Order: sequence, then C-alpha cells, then structure tokens
Amino acid sequence: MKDFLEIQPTILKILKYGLFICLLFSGFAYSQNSSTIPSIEESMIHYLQKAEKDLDIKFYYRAEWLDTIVVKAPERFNNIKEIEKSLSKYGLEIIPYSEWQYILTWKEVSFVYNEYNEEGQFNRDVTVSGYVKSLNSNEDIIGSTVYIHQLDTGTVTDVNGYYSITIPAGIYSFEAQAVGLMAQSMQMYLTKDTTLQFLLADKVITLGEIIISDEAVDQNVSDVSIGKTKLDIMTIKGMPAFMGEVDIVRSLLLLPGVSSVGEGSSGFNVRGGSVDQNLVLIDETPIFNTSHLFGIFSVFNQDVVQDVTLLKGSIPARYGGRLSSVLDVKTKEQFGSKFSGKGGLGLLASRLTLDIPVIKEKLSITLGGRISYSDYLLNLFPDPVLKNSSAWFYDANLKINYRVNNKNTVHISAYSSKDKFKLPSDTAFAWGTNNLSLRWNHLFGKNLVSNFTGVYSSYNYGVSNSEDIYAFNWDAGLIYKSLKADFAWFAGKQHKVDFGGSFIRYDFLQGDLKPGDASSVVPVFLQDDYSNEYALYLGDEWLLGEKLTLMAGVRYSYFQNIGPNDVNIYTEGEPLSPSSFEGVQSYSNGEVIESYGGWEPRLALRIGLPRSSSLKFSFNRMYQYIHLLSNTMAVTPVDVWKPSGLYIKPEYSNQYSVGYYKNFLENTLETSVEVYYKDIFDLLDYKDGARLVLNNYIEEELILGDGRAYGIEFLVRKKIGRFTGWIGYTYSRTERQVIGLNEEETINFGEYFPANYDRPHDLTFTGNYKITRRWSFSANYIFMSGRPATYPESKYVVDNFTVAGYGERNKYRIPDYHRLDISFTLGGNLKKNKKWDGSWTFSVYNLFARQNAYSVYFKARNNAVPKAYKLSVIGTAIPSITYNFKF
Amino acid sequence: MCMIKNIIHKVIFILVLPLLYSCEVPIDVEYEVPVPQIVVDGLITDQPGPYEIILSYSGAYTSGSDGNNPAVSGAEVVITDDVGNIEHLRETRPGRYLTSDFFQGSVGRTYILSITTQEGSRIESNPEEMLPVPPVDSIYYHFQYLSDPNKQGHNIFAVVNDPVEEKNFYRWSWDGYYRFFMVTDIDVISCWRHEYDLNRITVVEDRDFNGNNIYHPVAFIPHFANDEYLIHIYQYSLTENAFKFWNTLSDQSDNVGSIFDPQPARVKGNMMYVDGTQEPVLGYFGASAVSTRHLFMNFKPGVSPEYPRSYPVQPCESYRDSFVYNPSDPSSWPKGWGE
Repeated sequence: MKDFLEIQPTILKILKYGLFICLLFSGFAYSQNSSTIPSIEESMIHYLQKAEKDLDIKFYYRAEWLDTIVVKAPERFNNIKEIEKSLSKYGLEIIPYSEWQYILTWKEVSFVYNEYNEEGQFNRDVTVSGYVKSLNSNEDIIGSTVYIHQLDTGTVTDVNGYYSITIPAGIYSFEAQAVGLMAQSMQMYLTKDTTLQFLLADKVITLGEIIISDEAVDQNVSDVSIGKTKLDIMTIKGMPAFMGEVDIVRSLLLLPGVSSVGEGSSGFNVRGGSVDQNLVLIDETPIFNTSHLFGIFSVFNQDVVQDVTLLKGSIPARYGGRLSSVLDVKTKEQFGSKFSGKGGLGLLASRLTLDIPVIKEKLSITLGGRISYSDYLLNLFPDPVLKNSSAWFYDANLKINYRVNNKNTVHISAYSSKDKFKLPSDTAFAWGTNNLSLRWNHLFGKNLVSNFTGVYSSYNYGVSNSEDIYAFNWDAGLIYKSLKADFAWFAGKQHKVDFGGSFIRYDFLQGDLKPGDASSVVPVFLQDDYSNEYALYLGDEWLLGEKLTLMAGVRYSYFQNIGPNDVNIYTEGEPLSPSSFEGVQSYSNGEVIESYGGWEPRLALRIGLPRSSSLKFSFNRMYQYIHLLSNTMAVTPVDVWKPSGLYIKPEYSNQYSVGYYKNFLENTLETSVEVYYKDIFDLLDYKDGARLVLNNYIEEELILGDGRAYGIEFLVRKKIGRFTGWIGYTYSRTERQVIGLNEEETINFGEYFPANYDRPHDLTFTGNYKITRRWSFSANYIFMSGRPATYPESKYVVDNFTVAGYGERNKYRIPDYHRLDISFTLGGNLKKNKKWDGSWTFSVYNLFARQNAYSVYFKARNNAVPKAYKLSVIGTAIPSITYNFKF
Repeated sequence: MCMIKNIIHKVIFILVLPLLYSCEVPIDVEYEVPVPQIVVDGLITDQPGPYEIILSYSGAYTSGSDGNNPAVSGAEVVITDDVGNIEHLRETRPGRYLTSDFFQGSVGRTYILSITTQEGSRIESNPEEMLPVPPVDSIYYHFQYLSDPNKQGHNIFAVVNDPVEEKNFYRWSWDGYYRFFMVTDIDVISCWRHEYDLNRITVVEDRDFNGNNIYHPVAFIPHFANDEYLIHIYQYSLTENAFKFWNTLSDQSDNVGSIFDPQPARVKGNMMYVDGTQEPVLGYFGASAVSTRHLFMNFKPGVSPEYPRSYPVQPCESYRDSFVYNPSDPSSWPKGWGE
C-alpha cells in the first residue's frame, strides 16, 4: 500500500512533536486543587498556647472542651478581640479575670433549672440536623459522617447531604468528616432543636492523589447493604475504554457477579439474571436499552454523571419491578457558582458538557451532549459494503437544579438519545429514548425528607428495509409514565424509616408491519398492550446495638393488564397452539384483563466484628411484571417488551446472600466474599424454533419454567494511593428447568440446563497507576468461561433437504473469552489556576488481538462437509486516541 | 490543504480500520457423535402413486456428503387408513419402500405409517389426516431489483383464495423448465433444463389472512435463466404438526451465524417408538392433498438482462437434469410450454 508508506514519516513527526510538548510542561509545579490557598490548621489548644506566648497572657479552660476543635486561622493574632471572635464561633467566650488572666467559658444560655435530673443532665431529647457541604464548591456531601464524641454515636448524611440525629440535650463536640476533605469540629451546648451546618474544606494534596468519593471510608464494612457497589465517576474515568469512550455500563462488567454475553450485545447479566432483570435508572427515569451501537458505547455521558450505584444483593424496599439488580445513575445536583465545561474529542464520537450557574447558589443548569460521526467515516471507505453501511448515535442531557428555599429544591432532568444502524443489505435498525423527570424535594420539619417525582419516558425501536419487493417498515415503542412519593423519616436515634408509593402506567405499542409500495410483504397488525403497576413500601434501618444493624422492609406491588385489547382465546386445558385457538375477545379501554400482586419482603442484617470486619446477611423477594422476549443469542435492539397478562405470569425470585467483609491497612484495602443463592419462578422460556418478532400469537411460543442461580464472589479492592484498582473472581452457575404440559413444551427432557448467559468462571482485574504527576497507566483484564451453545450432532435428509439434528439445548460451550486492555493518559499541564485543562488518552482495546468467539455456527460451504465457524465481533487489537478537556 | 486533509483521512483510516475487522474463522469443535437414529422421509398425496417412503440412519454431522447415509433395509413398512385399508410397501432399493401402483391417498382419510425394523423395533406415526387444499387461483411474477445486479431475478407468486371456515396450512414447491443453447462453429444445439427447488421451504398458515386471497412468493428465478420459462407450482395441504415441522426446517436454513440468530431448534417429527423409548425418530410422514398450476412465462423484452449463451459443447444429457430439445416434436416438450 503505497499510500500507507507515505504517511508513516508524518506519524513519526507527530509523535516526536507531542513528546517534546510533554517534556516542556513537566517542569511546572503541581498542585491538585489549585483553586484553594493552602491554610494552616492547628488544634485550638495549640493556637491558644501560641497566643499565650505572643501576648504574654494565660488562658484557663478544661482540655476536653477544646481538644477536638480544629481551626483555620491566620498565623498570628494581635489582640484578645480577635481571639474572642474566633472562639465565639464554637460557643465559647472569654471572661477577663485580671490583666493577664482569662477564663474560657460557655456562652450564656437560658434554660430552666429544674429540667436537670440528678446527674445534671437534661431530661429531654433534642434533634440536631442540617447539611454538610463542601466549602469550596458548596456541593452537598453525601455519605459524610457526623460524629458526637461524648456519646460515641453518629449518623451519615443522605443523598441530599442532609443528616438528622436525636440526642439528649447537653454539651457535645460534633465532628463532620468525609474522605478527601478536612474534618470540621464544633462544640455545641444544646438545649433545643438545632440546625448545625458543616462546611468541609478540600484537603491539600502534597503527594499522590486521593480520589474524592462520596462514601464513608469504611463503607464496605459499616454499611448494612450486601452486594452494593458505588462507583464514583473518577474511578470509571480511570479505566481503559473501548475507542477511548468511558463506558459506565461496561465498567460494571469488571465487578464480580456481573457479566455479559459478549461484544455486540447490549445489556448485562447480574448474578445469573437475564438482561431485562436489571432496573436501570437515570435520575429516576428508566432506561430500557443500555448501550449505543450494540454495547460499544455507553448511553451515559461521563461528564453529567455524579455517581453510579449497583445493587445486586440486598435491595431496599423502595426499589422494585426487576429481579436481579438496580443500577441507579444520578446526574450532578449542585448549586454551583462557577461556569465550567468539560468534553472530549475521540475518533468516533465527541462530547461536550456545560455547567451553568444561572443564579448563584440557587439555580444551575447542566447541559451535555454526545454525537458520533462514524457514518461520515464509513462513507470514506471505497469498499461498497462499508460505504452502504451506516452507524451513528447521539445523546443529550439537561439538568436543572433549583433551590427554592432551605426546605425546598426542584430538579428537572431530561435525557434524549437515538441510534441508527444500517446493514449493507438495506435493513436499517433504529432505536431511541426520550426521558423527562421532575422531582420536588421537600423537608417537613427537621426529620422528614420527602421527594415527589413525576416521570415520562418513551423508548422506541424499529426496523425498516427499503429493498423493493421486500420493503417494509416496523416501528414499536414503550411509553412509561409514573408518579411517586418517597419519604425518609429520621425517627429517633436508632431508626431511619423509609416509606412511599408509586404508580406506573405502561403503553406497549407493538407497532405494525407496513409493506413498502412495490412490496410483496404481507402486512401484520399487532395488538398494543396497556398496564398499570402500583407499589407501596415501608422499611426501617434499625440500629439494634453498637454492632448490629437491621434493615427490614416490605413492598407490596400490584399489576393490572388492561384494555383496549383483542386477546387471543384458546381452548381451556389444552396447550396453546393454532389448533386450540378459538378466536379473540375484545376488552374495552381500561377494562382489567388480568391482575397480579405480591408481597416483597426485604431483609438485611449486619453484624460488626472486631478489627474492621463485618458479616452481613440478606434476603430479598422480588417481582417482575414486564419482560423482554428474546430467543436470539444476544438481545437485539428490536426485541419485544411484553407485560404479564392472561398467558404470561409475573416472574419472581427469592435471593439469599451472606457476605464477609474486612478492611485492611486503615481502610485502604477492602476485601469481601459474598455467597448467594437465587430461586426464580415462572421464568419465560421459548419453544424450539419460537418466532417472537411480529407474532400476534406470541403466547404460543412461550413456556414457563423455573431457574436457579448460585455463586461465590471474591473481591479485593484498593481505593486509595498511587495504585488503585481491584481484582475479582466469581464462580457462578445459572440454570433453568422447563417442564410443560407436553413434549413440545419440555426442554431437555425436563432436566436443568444452563441459561444462555451462564459463565461459571469470571476473573476480572482493573488497575490504575499514577506513574508521574501527569502520566497514568491503567489496564483491564477479563477472563470468562465460554457461554453455552447448542451444536448439531447429526445430519439427515428429508425431501432432498439436509437437516441438522441438534443436540440438547446449551449442552456445549463456545471457546473461553479473555481480553486485556491498556491505556495511557497524559494529564493537563501543571500550571495553577489555568482556564483550560486538557489531557490525552491513548488506549488499546484487546491488546492480545484475540478473536474472542461471539458465537459458533455451522455451515456447509460449496457443498463440502459442514464445518464449525467462529464469529468474532472484535477481531484484532484496536488503538484509539482521545483528547479530553475542561474549562 | 488538500494534502493535509488527505493525510488526516489516511490516519483516521488506519486507526478506525481495525474496528471493522470482525471475522469468521473455522474452528475445531469436539462434540459427541450420537447413536444413529432412524430417519423417515415420506409423503403420500391425493395424486396417483406410487409413493416412496425412504428410511435411513442419521449420520454424524461432519460425515461425508448428503444422501449417503446408511439405509434401513429389510424393514416391514405398512400404511393403514381409518377405514381399514392396509397397504404393504415393498423395498425396491435399499431403504426405499414403494406403494403399489393403484394405492392413492384421498382427502379426509387419516393415515398411520407403521414400521418394524429387522431388529424388531416398532415405530408408528401419529395419525396424519389428509386435509383438503384449495386450488391455486393464478400465478404471477415480478422482477426484483437488488443492489447487487448479479442477484436480480424474478419472484414468482401463487395466488390462492383461502377458505375461511378451515384452518389452513400451506406448503409450496415447484419445478421449472427452460432452454439453454450451445453455439458451435457450425451448429446451434439447444437443451431443456429441468430444475427443482432445493434449499427453499415455503410454508405459511392462514390466520393472518383467513378468508382472503394469499399472494405468496413461492419461487425465485435468477436472471440468468432464459427469457422463456415454464414453472409448475405445487401446493400441499399440511396438518398443524406438518406445518410446525417444515417451519422449523425453514428457520434452520436462515441461520447464518449472525448475532441475530435465534437458538437452533430441534426438528420434531410425527413418528415415535411404540414401546415409548425416549429416542426420537427423525423426519416426517406426511399426507397432503396437492393442487397444481403451471405458467409459461415470457420475461422479454426489456426485463431480463444479458446472459452468457455459449457453453462448451457437450450432449444435453451430460448436463445436470437436461435433455434434448427437439423443436419439431412438441409432444416431447414439457407440458404447458408455449401456452
């Protein structure tokens, strides 16, 4: 290729020039948080001692009043007045005894003398509540601990940065602390309900980096939840990514217990569950398809996401509707004061996000968008196959945060995405999502936080073909409308009670197959389905003792499949088939066709053990009323969502899990072992050769079965330091058993067989190492057992047609999957207070260039003996370069 | 400026190219070779016989070419109907059992095929009813334009008036005739080619258009066939089980290993061992009524593109399914040619 040789010198030139630029800037000093002026911190006592020396005076006080207070102060104080001003912040005042002697005492408070009991303590309880915020950005800090020394108790701020605790009146020192931030102490003399706000300053970094996380330092051990992983966006950004695109969903695949069927399939499997058993939410709105372009790109823009929580073990009562997991993605909720932006330019797609503070501290807007230009690139290729193909996507996020007053905030979140993919054979697939949510957060009094949310979501998908006689168009969609109310009540010192309810209305618009003008395609008219889902829940997180926490909750869910609909009727007692089909029965608008309901108890128990370890148990029962029907190897973008109804029962599961958690080296190393067992009932499975697409009689293809999944997950994770990352290993099995009314409805003679996504061994490693202040290196490695497949075992002839005789379903396995990705990131230059910060990331996906099997199929080419072929979606190592920036 | 753009294009080309490098390669697969199973391939119709039932053993999937599977020889094969008629078939060639000349199926009768192998195994079919079939109302054709001109051709459609009071399942097959020519220095030799449909199974059920006309594509004639073509369309009635059998076979042939392939399905027939053994009996014993129609098609002018007309000169019979065209003897022509 003569052209290739010509550009080689050019590439070398670019590399040399780039390296030169790197070296030029590496000489600058480096500071992580360049916006703050470093301050000197001292304990209060040290400060007073210094002042004593400087001013030649003496202070009298009790040490235990002061020894936990940390103060930010200038280097010297010139007179008593300045000291007095500083101390009064902590409730202390100075009483001069003589010219050079001063007594510290608590400020005068009025109280009723006879409220004291014998020990001199107040009889009554008071509630202390408020927000913990970042001093620098004014952001609410989630998961900050607020600790009261004298009582050796405390609490943690919730998703709004709000805390509330009830204690007996008295004098206490409070300390608020969060990872990566300086702790703040306050001494308070409490006689009545008080609001206490904390402002935590960023820690000054002098060596290495601490990733700012919104989890407590020992969250792993102290949180009562099992199987909960919170991934902060910084960790995800540090992982090597396909084509340089950070993908939140694919990062989850690196956690134990989470796997996927392969490149090219959208969705993920959690603890032996199918891809439709994950509730994926972005700001309370559902996402039914979690990937762009077959799992190659994420649907979530990394710059708008604040954090990502995956719940796969204990699932609190406020979540329901899916059996296996909850993936809760929250976009930024900040009332900032600075205009900023972030973005990136990649080879296939680019993105830009802007944070706009409209009214300082009150109204802020975040606007983000991503778009791919792969279409334009495909057009550049001379190959007609590629030229006639097309693949592109876009997505956009809008978030408006408005603080009405101290007790009320309103959040509006909108998300829109679209994908289009066209094969050279003129078949085009398109799908898209349009979501909107409006949430009003209101504080009732001091102890009751409420959230009222309205959601509208529209997921649409379809296929079309423009080729003459086969021309057709099919568009389907799913409309989701919901109203919910969620309450969190901080009832007393030992209870946090959650309760609430929700209503969801689904419109399953199955679409029609419309032939093109000259087409010979037979039109198909499909029935639409409508349904309502209701839920009420109540849960309590109960601190039973110092080391025992119980989370107990119950959810009641109720589902109705309603008209208008023409429902197929079959002869009673006979298997569903064309011969037992009797006709249709019409239901009018709103008429109930079938309804289901169930109780979903949720329990979690945490037992704190000595030396930073704990033991956790959990039990969940979950119900799922909507189902994704797919009998293809991987979920395709046009697979059908159907509600439970006359012939499809809700699926439900019982999951039991036990976990042991231990942190080492002062919480820098987290380890855990979790074991789970899941029983699943009324799982949908498909008859051999089921035709699910555009089938008005789809119930004839379905059979109900049971499933069971069990596994053990090991995880060792290092979150702090120059090297961060984790290594996880899962051994798990997920199996199904289908026994029907007759032979046709029984699979593999009624024995347990592996599900399509059963991957017994799953070993993952991800690590990020900061080589220098600007260069970092990261790598991912995944090894997974090959997934099950059905192979032909024999061959015979019927009417001159050669038939492949297949063995039992999923009896074999395709070859194992493993892959190594690496990436290098060159961070921005090291100037302080710069306006524009850019970084380059060079990554290689699939460094070993391993052709991992996606599927194995059999074909006879040119009348030769049929052979087995392996299809790989990614056939080689794929390098990419991305430029990321922020301003 | 142009040069820089060119360079940028080429750099992107090189970086993006690996992305498109997905591939399929042959691999070695180890799998169990099952015990050979008995395959029954037979169809009786309401047309004059005799009918042939072929019994064979299934082979390993990667064994030699098709049609060479061992025959099940020396078996006793009997067809009985629901009014007491019994027909014994005789083995004319290994594995091939023929009915007598005067045995003919009729609509409304229910037939059962019974087989007793040399080893004493007894196999019986489910009762298979021969359902009526409506006539083929007409045939029409339509030229199919495709992005790849080499794949263009004519789609042939059958038009049927579907009876509303019955549950109908249809299967179509066809065969056709055309002439091809060989040109030598001194002569033009022309031959008939008789072609069959292979690797295409067309089945449909009537629920979506019950009582209306069906316009269903049943054949595709590639453009390189001569511009005159005679096609015979055969329309078979199917029971529901027979429809399921053929439907599954049809799905199998669509499977190409793409990421959108459904799970492969085991094809279930209608025969089983009398003693209740779980082992399946492969294949199907069908009983269908047939209606036929033929159409002589003249594709010219203007719709069929150029095709090579000269082949190396050899006698007609040396080509597959071909025989001599004698222009002066219309009785030797395929029935329906030229109408």
